[in-house]
Amino acid sequence: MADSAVVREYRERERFGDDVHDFFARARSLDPVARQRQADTLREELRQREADRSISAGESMNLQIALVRVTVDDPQEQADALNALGEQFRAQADQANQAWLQQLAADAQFQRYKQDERRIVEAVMAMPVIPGGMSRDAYLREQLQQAREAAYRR
Amino acid sequence: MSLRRTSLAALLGGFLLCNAAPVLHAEEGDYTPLQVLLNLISPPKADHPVTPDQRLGPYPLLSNPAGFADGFKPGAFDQWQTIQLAPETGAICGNGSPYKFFLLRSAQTTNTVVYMEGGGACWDYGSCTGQSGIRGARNPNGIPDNYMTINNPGALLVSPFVGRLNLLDLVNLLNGESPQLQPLKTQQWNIVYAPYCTGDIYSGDRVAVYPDPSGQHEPLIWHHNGLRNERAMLAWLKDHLPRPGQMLSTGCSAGGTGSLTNYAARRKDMGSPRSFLLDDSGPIFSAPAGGSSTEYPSAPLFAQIRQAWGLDAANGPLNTLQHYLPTFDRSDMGSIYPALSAEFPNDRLGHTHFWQDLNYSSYSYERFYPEIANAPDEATKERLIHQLWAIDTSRLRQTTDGLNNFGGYFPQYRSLNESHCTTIVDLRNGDIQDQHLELIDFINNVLDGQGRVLHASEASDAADRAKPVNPLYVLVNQLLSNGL
Repeated sequence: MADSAVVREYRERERFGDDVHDFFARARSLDPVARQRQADTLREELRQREADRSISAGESMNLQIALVRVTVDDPQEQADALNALGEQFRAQADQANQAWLQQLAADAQFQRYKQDERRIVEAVMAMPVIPGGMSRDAYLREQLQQAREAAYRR
Repeated sequence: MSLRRTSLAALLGGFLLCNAAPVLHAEEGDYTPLQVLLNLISPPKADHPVTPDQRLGPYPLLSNPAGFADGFKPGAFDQWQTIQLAPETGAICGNGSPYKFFLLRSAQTTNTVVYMEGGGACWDYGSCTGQSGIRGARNPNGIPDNYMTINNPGALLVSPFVGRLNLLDLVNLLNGESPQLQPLKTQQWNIVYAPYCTGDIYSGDRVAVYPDPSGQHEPLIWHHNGLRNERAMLAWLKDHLPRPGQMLSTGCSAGGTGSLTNYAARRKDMGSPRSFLLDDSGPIFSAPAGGSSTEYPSAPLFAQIRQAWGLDAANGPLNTLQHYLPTFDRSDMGSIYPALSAEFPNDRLGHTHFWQDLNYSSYSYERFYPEIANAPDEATKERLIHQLWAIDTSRLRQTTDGLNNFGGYFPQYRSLNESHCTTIVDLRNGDIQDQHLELIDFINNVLDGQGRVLHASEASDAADRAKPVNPLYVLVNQLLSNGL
């Protein structure tokens, strides 16, 4: 049964691309209500594809823009809808960026490494002679590599 | 055992029934329908792992340590996966955070696109910190795990090479016209997405310490570690996936340049039977040591980046590149084109960029020519930049014209992203109208052509500028101009 589910899920992901293409090929021939309804179905499926990571952000965004263009006929309303979509993307980007910075700030291993990093850099830059005949750059890289491995092993 | 065989037979019957149409265009590297089904149940393993020799040298292929959680799920086909690289691999982002890359695995084929993300370059405090007002490098804060699925306007610059959906002809479909663009076959391949976080066109190897010119902040410690990130990614691919039957190395902007500089090593160490390169808008212009900037406008840029990124270090990046490309002249990085052509005579290689590019060109000249930096207005600045770009591009075009297996495709202008990158967002409007060529013609010629790779250049931008306004491009440009 598990094997069947694997194949079924695979086929579902393949079908989505066909559904997208079929909709856009027929969209202009549909009445506005049917067009909107099918676009909404596609948007819901798009959300599912985003959730299971079978579609990238870039593909999703291009598709969302295309769905606006095909379902909103009035030029001003279309421009307003696209601007609203752009604002949504911008807000999501800000949110994601903040979340990542917070994650880095809370990452003990990363923060430990960054403290070691500055200490090592200052020490190596102040060394009058580099051991082993290495260049300063090579020695610095080696020391920082060791510090990273140690920080992330703990 | 017999129950499993019965189950497999039933699944095969169902699968073949659902796939009644014969497999078209099956190519080297593709699996048969039966193999695809078996792959879904038992994902294929690596068949050309890293060898002991490849773990040696100045830029060894290093693997994650045993037990390291890399996040890979072999059976997660057609789902973007984040692949983590441990510090032991040598990989790291510019800010010191861990490097990772992204994989969209295909059950249908071993063929693989390695796509390198674009995103500027940096060589001092201002450009590497993402300080506003200075063209800098992407991802100064590193790469989040959910990078491929974050909705941010930068993602709008996604290339059709990255993803499964064939959205290439949506414009025609939206207008009620019939589809015209051929699908891009690599959309069904395995897709490896290398994010960019080192500001060094994936080619550097140096820990830089950049002082803050204002003196207000601690110096920036920045890891120009692009070359080692590439090596770590390559090691993982070899150790976890079957060797590609066909491999395309591509990317735009810094990703194009990175594809160019890493092609030789990747090509040789991966060992795929067939390999292709498509450098989109990441040129390495000729700038021989001692050459004047009048004759070689990119000379000041190269002097800067050679030092900042450690390119000339003993056993460093350029030394290693020459190891893989014996005819590469380290004193002139522009020699990489004829060197690649000679070293890989059976590979099909290609370069493309717009004559009116204002992005990569600005990086190349703006901060090195006071008359440009201090231009009285934007129009003058643009004119001066394009003058230098034309000198460099003309020489590159002449170089590729002399190489049978290294094509050059130079359209004039597109009203998107400062005419930078031909293969992002869609593959439209990179046409060369007077020769009845579309960009897809060049791409398909690289991937599927025979004989001399296509060479074409557009003389005038008049037809490009006369095109109607493209609402998608307007939206993308607006979002990008608002600093996102």
